[in-house]
Amino acid sequence: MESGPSKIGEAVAWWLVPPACREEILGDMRERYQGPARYFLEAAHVIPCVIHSRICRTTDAVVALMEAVSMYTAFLMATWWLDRAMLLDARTFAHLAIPPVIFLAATILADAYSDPQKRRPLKPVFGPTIGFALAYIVQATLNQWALSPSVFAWGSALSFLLVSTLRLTFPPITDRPQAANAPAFWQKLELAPPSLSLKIALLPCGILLAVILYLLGK
Amino acid sequence: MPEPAGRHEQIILTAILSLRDEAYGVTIHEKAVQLSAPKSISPGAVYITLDRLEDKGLISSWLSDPTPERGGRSKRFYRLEALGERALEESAETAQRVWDMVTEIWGGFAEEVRRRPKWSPVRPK
Repeated sequence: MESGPSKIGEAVAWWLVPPACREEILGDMRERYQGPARYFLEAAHVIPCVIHSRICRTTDAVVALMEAVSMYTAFLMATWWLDRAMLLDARTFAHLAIPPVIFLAATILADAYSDPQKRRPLKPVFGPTIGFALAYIVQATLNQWALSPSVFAWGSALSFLLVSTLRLTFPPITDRPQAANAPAFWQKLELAPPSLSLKIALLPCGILLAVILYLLGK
Repeated sequence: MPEPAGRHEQIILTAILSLRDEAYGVTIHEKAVQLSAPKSISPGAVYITLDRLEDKGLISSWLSDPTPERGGRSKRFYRLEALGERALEESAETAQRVWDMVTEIWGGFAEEVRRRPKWSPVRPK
């Protein structure tokens, strides 16, 4: 019987598991190892669960909502200034939501994958930078839904400015200072408004998504 | 006042309580499988529940030294906090009250139902 997983398999798992819980998750998976197929199946089930759990822990629903609204407003303002005629087409409102969604998704994932042991002053800006790069790539590949280059450039610049300011004011949960004897996430629950959780924040996002889909289908 | 624990949370809290100083991912999952039988519980669900319990302040965790049998990786050990003990106590008291009420209403019938072999239908020819 093999004693442990293959180096390639373990390396892939190492890349996929967020650094904050990499040590124990990979150790547990190695201890449970019963063959390559079982290891793959376990990784396929455990890693998405771990990523989901990490996102729940690192995402502040209130800040994420503020970021989403400010980014959409930035793109809307850029369109208003540079190409007001575009706003006459209802679908433009849906197209404007694509870069903010990519920005936000990249930021949330960057927070989930950030290493809490490494503290850098520009860490809060790392997520939006990745988001900006991804949004640019998507815009370059999407011909039909792409915004005009000037709108995209100004919208992105404004979004970057607003989101960076927001993130420097409200740093990611893992980077906030902690009390000496209090668990970090317990403190987070103490500080967060009791009525607004991630699930509640999903409701306006769902409504926004429904509106976007309706406008796209028009 | 602790938040009421859900079914998965009760199972994980009980597993941590019973394992004492040996409560880490693998052992907690094995114990949780025993406790939730005949239903199964996946390792992924265990990790999600452990994170949630830690967020609620019901448990706390720390990393051990690296061990060679795990490829030089550490174990994350879990411990029940005072709030977790109280949440588990409340859940156990609620379950006890429910069971007392059931036995009071059904009398000996509840015991009989528990002992009765599973119904196996005979397919008509």
